[in-house]
Amino acid sequence: MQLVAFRIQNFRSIVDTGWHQLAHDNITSLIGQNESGKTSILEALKAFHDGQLIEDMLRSDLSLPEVACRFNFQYVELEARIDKRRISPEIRKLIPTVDTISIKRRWENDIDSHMVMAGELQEIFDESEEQNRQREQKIQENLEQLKRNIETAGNELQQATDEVDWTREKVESIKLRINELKRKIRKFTTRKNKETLKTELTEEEVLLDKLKQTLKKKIVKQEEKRDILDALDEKHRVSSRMEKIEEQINQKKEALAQAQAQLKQILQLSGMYTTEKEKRAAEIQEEIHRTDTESLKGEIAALQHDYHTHLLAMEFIFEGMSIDSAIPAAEKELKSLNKFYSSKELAEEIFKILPDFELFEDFSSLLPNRIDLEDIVRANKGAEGYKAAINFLTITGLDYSFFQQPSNRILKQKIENLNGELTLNFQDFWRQNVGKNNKIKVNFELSYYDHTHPEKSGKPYIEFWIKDEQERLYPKQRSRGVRWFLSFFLELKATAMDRSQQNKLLLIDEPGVSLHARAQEDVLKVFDDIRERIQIIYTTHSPHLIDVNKLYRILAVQRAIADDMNSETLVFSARSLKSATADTLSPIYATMGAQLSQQEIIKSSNNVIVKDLATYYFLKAVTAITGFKKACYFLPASGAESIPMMVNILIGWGIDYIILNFGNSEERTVYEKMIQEHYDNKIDLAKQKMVLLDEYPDTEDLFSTIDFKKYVVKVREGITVKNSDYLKDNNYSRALIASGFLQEVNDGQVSYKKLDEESRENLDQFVAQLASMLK
Amino acid sequence: MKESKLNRETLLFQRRELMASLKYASFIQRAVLPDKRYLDNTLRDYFILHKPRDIVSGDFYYCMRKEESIIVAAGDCTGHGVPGALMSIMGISFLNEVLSSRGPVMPSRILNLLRERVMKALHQRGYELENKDAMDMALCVFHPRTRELQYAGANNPLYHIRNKVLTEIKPDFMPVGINAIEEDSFTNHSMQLKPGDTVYIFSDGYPDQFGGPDDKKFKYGPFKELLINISDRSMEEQQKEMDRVITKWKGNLPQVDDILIFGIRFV
Repeated sequence: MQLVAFRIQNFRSIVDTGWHQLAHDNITSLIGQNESGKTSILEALKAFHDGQLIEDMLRSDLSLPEVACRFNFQYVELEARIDKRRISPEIRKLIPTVDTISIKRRWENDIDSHMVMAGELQEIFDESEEQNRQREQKIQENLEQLKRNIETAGNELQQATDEVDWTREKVESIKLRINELKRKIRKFTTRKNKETLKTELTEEEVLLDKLKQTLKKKIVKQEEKRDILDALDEKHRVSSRMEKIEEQINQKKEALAQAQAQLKQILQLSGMYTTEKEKRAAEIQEEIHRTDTESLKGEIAALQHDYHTHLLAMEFIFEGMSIDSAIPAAEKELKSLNKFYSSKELAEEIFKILPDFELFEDFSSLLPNRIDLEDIVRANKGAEGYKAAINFLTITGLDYSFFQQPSNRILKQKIENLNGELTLNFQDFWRQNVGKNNKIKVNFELSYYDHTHPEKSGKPYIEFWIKDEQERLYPKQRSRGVRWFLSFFLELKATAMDRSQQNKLLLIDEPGVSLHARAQEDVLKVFDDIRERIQIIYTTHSPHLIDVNKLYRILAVQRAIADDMNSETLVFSARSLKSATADTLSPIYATMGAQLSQQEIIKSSNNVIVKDLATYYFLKAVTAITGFKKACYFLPASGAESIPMMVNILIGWGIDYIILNFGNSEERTVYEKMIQEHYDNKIDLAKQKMVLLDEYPDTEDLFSTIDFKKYVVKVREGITVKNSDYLKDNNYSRALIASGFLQEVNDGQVSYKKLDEESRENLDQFVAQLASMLK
Repeated sequence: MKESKLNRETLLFQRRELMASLKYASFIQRAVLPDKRYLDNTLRDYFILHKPRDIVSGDFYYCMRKEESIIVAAGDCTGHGVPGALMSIMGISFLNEVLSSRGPVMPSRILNLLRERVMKALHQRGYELENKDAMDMALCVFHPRTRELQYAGANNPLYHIRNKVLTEIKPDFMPVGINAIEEDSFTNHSMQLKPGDTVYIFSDGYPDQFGGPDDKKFKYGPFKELLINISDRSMEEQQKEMDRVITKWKGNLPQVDDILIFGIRFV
């Protein structure tokens, strides 16, 4: 798999780079001024791979970073390594058809991050998540309704109970009244009174019967209300369990946040301890908090699972399932839902086959003078030169177990034997001479700290020496250039020896910044040699590390507001370099000049002076397209006004030349001035040396508008002015446009056959005229 | 009752205004088309059947003498009525502009340059939601001295008839304006004419007209046959016959699009 594009959000000075394509041929260079954000891009990509974020990588508003990478992808690569039954049908349908796959790393806080899918596959996950969300929302709504129903049922039961109580009281009072009446009837003897009391008694008894009937009904109603409430309460038991779980989750999350804060504090202080004892104590503390956070995360996940089970169970209960059956059914349903890979799980599976991202930077990657064996054993990546030391040991075929010899004498002897065989042959990767015969020996020794290092006294360390035929020096005693060269060699050699099937992506911050210009060009050659095996993204300021014929490899990085280091970082792809500032592009401009002086050799004849670099590139393209056979050496001046000076120099050297002038006003002026001043108004003589292509204001006007649009500027808008005016009106860099065009011509993407009749006719006439001037 | 009468009067007033405006627009449109005297002097034996569907038309014809060449064209702009007419006026103006500039008078080049102007004027850059208006066109350049006829077509062909044999020169299938895929240069075709040869350039209005017994399109086959059958008649008669046939074909159905046929006989 090959990284084809990236998008970085909220990382140091970067707000959002948008998606940026990397060069198809595996080498991408990030150019830009200091502090523009080039290194941040490398670090963000590295953080994408290892998930490690340090505090200064966060933006001041503490928005959390997201880094997405797109890789070219073939399903067969994944198929063999994945449990296909766990891919959902929708993903299974799409995944074999995609040729790129995007993965995003999201940070949940400054310590924890996770991978998710991005792009079109994520859309499927989003859809399914949305469905789940809606489903959960529906359940939550039902739960709310349940709460309201319980409240209503409680009120109704209370009301029914009140009514029963009231009726019961009434019955009791009537019963008392009846007893009283009966007692009175028995006491009073007058007939009249007896009759009256009897009538009253009868009425009361009738009323009592009625009230008893009413009471009966009210009790039935109360029972009904109680049953309703009990049924609702039963349901509520499940939902209140959910509330408890939710409460527990929140408590655990709080505990996790605290543990993470403590861990963060320990990590922040980790570099400040001086004594071994303090360091060890901090390491133990770190270990404890890491274990705590991991265990809390596990507990939270288990609780969340429990919560979801109850949530789903509620759905079943609402649908009418009994409470006893709902929980097992929910567990079954959840298991079935979790059967397929989630976005996170699929991303993690794909991550296993992604290229290995390695950051080559000075602190960890340059060979140190010494490194503690303990740092190697404990994989302390923060130790100076850790990576270089590991690379060295990989190349020598050793690991830390080699040093666990019980006998020091035997170990020393073994190392001595090994050192005899260890000669690094730079010609594996290098053409530049490093040391005599391109060979350098790196020796290593196992030593022990003495009393001058009381904290480490008696502890072992490995010491490195760089040795050529002349001298034996510590790495830091050699020039920084040689040390870089050697360390980079170790990196490449170790990578080449890695037997894993994963591709490699090497992120290099300012390669060979201390190297001589020629050595830097060698670095570029090495990149070209290894690019089939190792994809490279590097930052540079150096024109010698840019191949002007391959400007598509460039991503320009600059601040949104020039000189404001607080403004956000912007990235420009090769196609939009015209939008980058001249300062950002300075390595390109410099390299154009640098290369030209090397590539174009002045010959004794057939030297053709042209106005500038852009004209040079266009004319190289024209001669390539037309298959121009005559020897012809275009020499670019640094502007039309410099042509007379260039002529003077060539005349001084006794070198033959002709001048090619196009019909724009500057070149026409130079043409006329030259006739007067150089050729003393002798038109015939002047015409032997100079051509004025009156019909074409500039080289690009040799092409028809449609070909110019298709192959040179690659736009589709209507152009109603001369091609050269279009470039000026739209602030295009002629040199960049012309260089890109030449590259496409050289790559065979533009040919004579592809051009239209008008362009072909113009070019034919032009080269015929040129040929007639040459010897 | 009073209000409805008022509304009716307002509508009638607006209609009158609109019709007056359209009639004046048609007057302007006619003014930018070549006038009869210029055509008679330049082409001598020709006919133009121009039947706008509405008062103003999206079809237009063009004729211009430049140095030793005669340039004729039949254009068909997207839409009809006012939008078509505006496009047609733009087309004629741009043709004038292109032909007044320096450079060889070649049909493919003229269409290429015309397309650049249309794309620029309509801000067409190949984006999805932008304006997609364009024009189809058949454009010929005739060199009387050498009898050479050059043609380039944007979706519209050229029919050449000699001794009742019709030869169709196919156009490039892209319009003058933004194309569905990336624009290419138009192709230049060239042929040697003989006295009595006739060529026809036209819009798709005639063959696309619905009518006849089954309310179907007239179609290109019968259109070619009709041209072959009448090609030996005078150009004036040809125009009348073409008009008669299409009027009869159309019957009571509405005219679906503007109709334009430009026939030229070379002597």
